[in-house]
Amino acid sequence: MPISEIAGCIGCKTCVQTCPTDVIQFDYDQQKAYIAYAEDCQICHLCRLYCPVDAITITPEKSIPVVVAWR
Amino acid sequence: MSDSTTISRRMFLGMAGSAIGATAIAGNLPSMPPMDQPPTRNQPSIDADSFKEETVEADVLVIGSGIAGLFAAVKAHDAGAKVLMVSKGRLGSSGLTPFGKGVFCYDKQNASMTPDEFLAKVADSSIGTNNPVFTRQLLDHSADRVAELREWGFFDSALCFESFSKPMRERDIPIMERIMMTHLHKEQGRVVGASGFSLDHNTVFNFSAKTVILCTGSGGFKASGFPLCDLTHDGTIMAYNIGAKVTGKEWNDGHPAAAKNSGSCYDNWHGQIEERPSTTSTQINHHLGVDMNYTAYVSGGPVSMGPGPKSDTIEETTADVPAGPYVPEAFRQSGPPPQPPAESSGLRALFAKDKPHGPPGMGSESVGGSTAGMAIHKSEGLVPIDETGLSSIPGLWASGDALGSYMSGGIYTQIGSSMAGSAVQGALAGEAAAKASRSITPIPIPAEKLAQTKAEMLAPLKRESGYSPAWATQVLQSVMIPNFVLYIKKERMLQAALAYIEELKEHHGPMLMASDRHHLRLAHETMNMIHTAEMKLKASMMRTESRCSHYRLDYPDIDNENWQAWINIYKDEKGEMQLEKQHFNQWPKFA
Repeated sequence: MPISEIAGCIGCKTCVQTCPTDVIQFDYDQQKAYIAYAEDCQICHLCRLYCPVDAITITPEKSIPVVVAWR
Repeated sequence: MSDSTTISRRMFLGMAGSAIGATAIAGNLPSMPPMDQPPTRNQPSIDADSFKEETVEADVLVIGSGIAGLFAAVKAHDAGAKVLMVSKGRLGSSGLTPFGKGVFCYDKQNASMTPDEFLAKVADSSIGTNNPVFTRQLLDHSADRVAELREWGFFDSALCFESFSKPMRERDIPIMERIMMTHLHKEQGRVVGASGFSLDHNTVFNFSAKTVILCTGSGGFKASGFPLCDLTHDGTIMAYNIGAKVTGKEWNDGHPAAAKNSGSCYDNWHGQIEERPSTTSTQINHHLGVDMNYTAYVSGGPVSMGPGPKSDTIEETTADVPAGPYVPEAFRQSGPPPQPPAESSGLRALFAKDKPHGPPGMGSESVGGSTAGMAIHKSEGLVPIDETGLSSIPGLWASGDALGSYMSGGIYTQIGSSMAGSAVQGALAGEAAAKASRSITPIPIPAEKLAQTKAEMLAPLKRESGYSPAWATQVLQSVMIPNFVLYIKKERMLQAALAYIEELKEHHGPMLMASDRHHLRLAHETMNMIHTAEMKLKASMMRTESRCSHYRLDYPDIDNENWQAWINIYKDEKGEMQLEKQHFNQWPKFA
């Protein structure tokens, strides 16, 4: 998994706005952010760095196959 | 949280109204089926017919919120224009700007090179492909832009949202965030506005503007390991679609990714994302080209380069490789880049001796393709017809990586010049667009054109069957990223790849589906990547020589007789893609 968990969310929506690839959505009923499209996570960590309460856990593996030019 | 963001969010909340309730419910429903499940019919979680339309007016519409957009908006405002910034992401956290840790600053008093020496060396490294008018702008303006960034606090934090918000807030410049732009509008021969849709609620926004500045960056094929998966040349393709000339599509940024965790931008950046930016001084290289990709093509992996624990294996790896891409004599080196002092953070620290790191993707065993689909910074994008970045469409400017300024040419020359160049060009475009806006009477966008735009924009939501953007993207990646297509080029493979891409464009593109706003965004991004792939293949075929980051195995030499020229691409009156040469010495001369 790339972005794998949001625990302890305070509902500020900063991660939703910050994610360049629109991976995180906001649940207005729960007033919490949730991971909606993990397959589009580019593992840049901006959401984690901007999160004011350090609620986001990210692992370094993509959830979809990685295409490389050569290896 | 800045006032400007609060304003924009309030604006969204006010406008969204009941749509927000729908979003909350829709958000928890399953979206597009994952790739490992059988295909199903498209069952959208939102109603395409419920989209409302909002009209917003401005003198100068700035599209994009990276460093080019910031300076374009600030300088256009300071020149007296009513400015509006609109962004697919958030101020300072979309595109490549958040990851640009080195900013070139030319200090006239203490520089180690005179301007003439600097220009001569860049021209030498770029083998004549740079446009000296834009190279010179770096020397004339970078120190002023760096001084402003310093005043705003840019160099005091690893994250640039707060420092970017400061000048926007002080000027009360409105920002509308998380809007995917899909169309530019042209009436009576000039640009008159743009349209896009919100990622947060069912609203189509139609922007009416006297002038538009594209600060939309460049793009790639959503390859892994480099943080440009949100960049798909959106601005360039929107402009191409209304007749603007585009250039630079044969050049390649050759960044590899670290072999371990190759999909992780953060790992590939060696944690640099958490470091504060710093300035860089004159250091001209011949970088980010095809050298590592050529080595890997000829010898296979693994390949490593740059400062790091295994750098002593470079000679062993490359010793038996036949001569490949030409590197000007003054720039030949087999070892890592020179190492500046280690006391500062940011880019300089990357080369510090006590850190076994390198630039992104370097310093350990690597895999290729992390920036596939992106050219050298500033070499691709709209063709400028003057030194402010005015495009071939009246009223439409571009700056930064959306402008094919050839500031560095077809190879990356000055370290840190991408960030600095975007700042410098954004400021010049902002001032010019503001000035031009004073004498422009707004031209309304006809209602029938807006209706057609909306229908095209939302069409993927209405398709019950078809193809998912994720699938089309994976096909495109599988065709375009392998090293024998765009990195090491030859006619036969370029033709073969083009057959796939044309099929995607003509057959599958019009059948792309979307189940929600996220996938609607992906559908449009996918089409933009398909158009870009076609441009890259056609330009690569046309350039029957090798130079800088463009390497043809079947035309391995520089051809100065025929190719002292850039390639411009445009859509003709029949809608067909046309390519033309623009000789280096035929660019307009300006006082």
